[in-house]
Amino acid sequence: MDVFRFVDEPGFLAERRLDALKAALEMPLPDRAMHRFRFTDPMALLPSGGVSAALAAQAGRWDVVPDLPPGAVEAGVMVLTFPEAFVRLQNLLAEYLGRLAAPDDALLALNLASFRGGAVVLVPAGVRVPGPITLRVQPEAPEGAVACGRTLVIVQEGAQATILEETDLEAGLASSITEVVVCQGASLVHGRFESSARGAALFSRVAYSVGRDATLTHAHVLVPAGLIKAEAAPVLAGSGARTEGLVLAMAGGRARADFRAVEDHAVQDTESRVTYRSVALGRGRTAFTGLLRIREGASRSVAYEEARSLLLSGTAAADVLPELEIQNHDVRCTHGAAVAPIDEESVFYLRSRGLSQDEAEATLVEGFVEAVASRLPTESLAERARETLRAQLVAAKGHPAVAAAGPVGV
Amino acid sequence: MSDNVMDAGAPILEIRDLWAGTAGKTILKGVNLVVNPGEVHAIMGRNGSGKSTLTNVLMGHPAYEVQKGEVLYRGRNLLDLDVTQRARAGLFLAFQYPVAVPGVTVSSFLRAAVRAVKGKDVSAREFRKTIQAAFKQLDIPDAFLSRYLNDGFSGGEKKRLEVLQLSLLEPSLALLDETDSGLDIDALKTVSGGIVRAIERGVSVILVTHYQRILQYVTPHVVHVFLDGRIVRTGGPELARELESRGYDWLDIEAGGVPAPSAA
Ligand SMILES: Nc1ncnc2c1ncn2[C@@H]1O[C@H](COP(=O)(O)OP(=O)(O)O)[C@@H](O)[C@H]1O
Ligand SMILES: [Mg+2]
Repeated sequence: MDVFRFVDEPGFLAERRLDALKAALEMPLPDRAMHRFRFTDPMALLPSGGVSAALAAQAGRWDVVPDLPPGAVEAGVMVLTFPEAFVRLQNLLAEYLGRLAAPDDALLALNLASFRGGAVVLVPAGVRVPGPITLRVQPEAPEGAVACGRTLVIVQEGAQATILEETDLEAGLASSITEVVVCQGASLVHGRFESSARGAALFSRVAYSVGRDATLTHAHVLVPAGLIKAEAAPVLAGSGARTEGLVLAMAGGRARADFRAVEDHAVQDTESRVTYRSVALGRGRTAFTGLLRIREGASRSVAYEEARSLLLSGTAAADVLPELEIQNHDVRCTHGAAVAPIDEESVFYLRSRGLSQDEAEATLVEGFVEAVASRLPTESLAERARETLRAQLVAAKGHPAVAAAGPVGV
Repeated sequence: MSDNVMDAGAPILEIRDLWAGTAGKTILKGVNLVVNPGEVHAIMGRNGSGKSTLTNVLMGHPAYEVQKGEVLYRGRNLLDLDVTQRARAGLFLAFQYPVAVPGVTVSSFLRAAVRAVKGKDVSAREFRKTIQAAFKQLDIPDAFLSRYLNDGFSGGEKKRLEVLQLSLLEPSLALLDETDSGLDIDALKTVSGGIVRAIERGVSVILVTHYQRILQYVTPHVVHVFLDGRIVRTGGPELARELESRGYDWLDIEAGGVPAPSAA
């Protein structure tokens, strides 16, 4: 099996691909008894022949269309393809690629072994990028294959940036892995907007390393019509590191949105917050599993997690599972989780002010997600989230015009 | 509501032998009440006597079912209308316990309500002007516009916002459920001022209270005593004063019931 996906792959990558290939073939699929895969069968993310079939298929495309704000390139910001980065950023790639999202399980290994597209973003030390950098990601996989792509983001010391990744999977299977390094004193806002069409399944993971006194806001908007299994795993690696996670998921029709957050406090004086809102309607299903991990050395850390789901129909389902793993007790951990249907008293109140049943419900749903939507890093991301939500609400009411205008199935 | 032709002198609301409750329990047991245009009716009664159930049933709360009787609103069968239709037909309920709606700002809510009830959109500028004047009259800081609806509001702030909606939505009939409770004397005066202005503009009112206090500011034409799901006595403003000095127990006996255990 040919392990090269690009021309002129550097030696270190060839080695990592080989290791990953071995791991992919040898390791079992993730354990469904654990929270991480409790709500999604890993086989739903793979062709029927499993990992080995996906490895053998070796097909698909992974196109990334970058959009940089004016002045970014002049300031030294780089957004490169992998072949470009092999030449210009070989040392950084050798240091980080496949290291933050290491091939620790068959799915991660599959991606590292076979990714064939993506982007590398470098924000040099001290640079403040004057606007959001957007990466439009378009995976494409033929039947029986998994399109695999990776993004590597390095925000060097003291730099500041907003980076958005928008992934729309129109058909088939895809695996999207992003590794993000936020160096000492840097500040990054990272947003991911992900959609998958009916019948399409996207596996998505972002692994972050957040350095000393660095700040990360990571936002995730999941709007599958098919399946999205997304994960965010920040390691708070330097003291004074702070992360803020914002997650919004909605699943109508027969869609599935499964999100996992792992906030890993590796050292002392770190702070993490995760706020999750999901709306499940129709026969849709959302799941959240959130692990707050406090390592032995992470004294005086603060971790907060709040997950709420709203059910708009009797056939929709939502799960929220917070999880704590605490090895140091000199910390403050708070977590809350709730799943509830729409509040009838509130509907009555709004209707008594002249709103129709649908208007009242839509108002309550928009209010419900606002805790996340209002804090999303860019107005365009927030607006796109709200618009999708509105469209899903209308579609769920069986409005034919809008249902027909929705994503096309495979 | 100019689109609704009404017989001069016809009642705005007529409740005939209304029985209602939840699935397992009858709460209203034969309410009869006639409210003529422009009238202010006070309904007084102990906690638990069914006053809120009456206002909720009139507004169309889905938790209650009408078991018997009829309700005519401006000559139409009110019970045929759903909640939204009732609101758009000019009925308004100031809630005893207004719900909080996190994530929805007061300003967007008010705009949606005005649009829904009046059936037309006003320009943002015009809306702002109207709202600012109304806020000022009710002593509500402008900062409340960007707060989430009733979220973290004190009891008094919620009641003021209910009265604000009364003035913005300009209903024909307002059901005010204990809009005076939980207010200090200054807030009571402010809130009463808002109610009185609405009355001067012609709204008919059913004012539910269990204190005589608010009636010093809002003078009712008729006072009813509510007991165990029905009106047991009707009189003028002097009845409210009598209740204030004598309590409700004498009415239990006159109504053929037994005094409440706490009073025995
Ligand atoms: N939705 C409901 N479900 C069950 N019981 C109710 C409900 N609403 C009211 N009740 C009962 O009916 C009685 C009258 O309540 P309510 O109308 O709130 O009285 P008031 O407003 O006069 O204090 C009380 O015993 C109350 O517990
Ligand atoms: Mg009451």
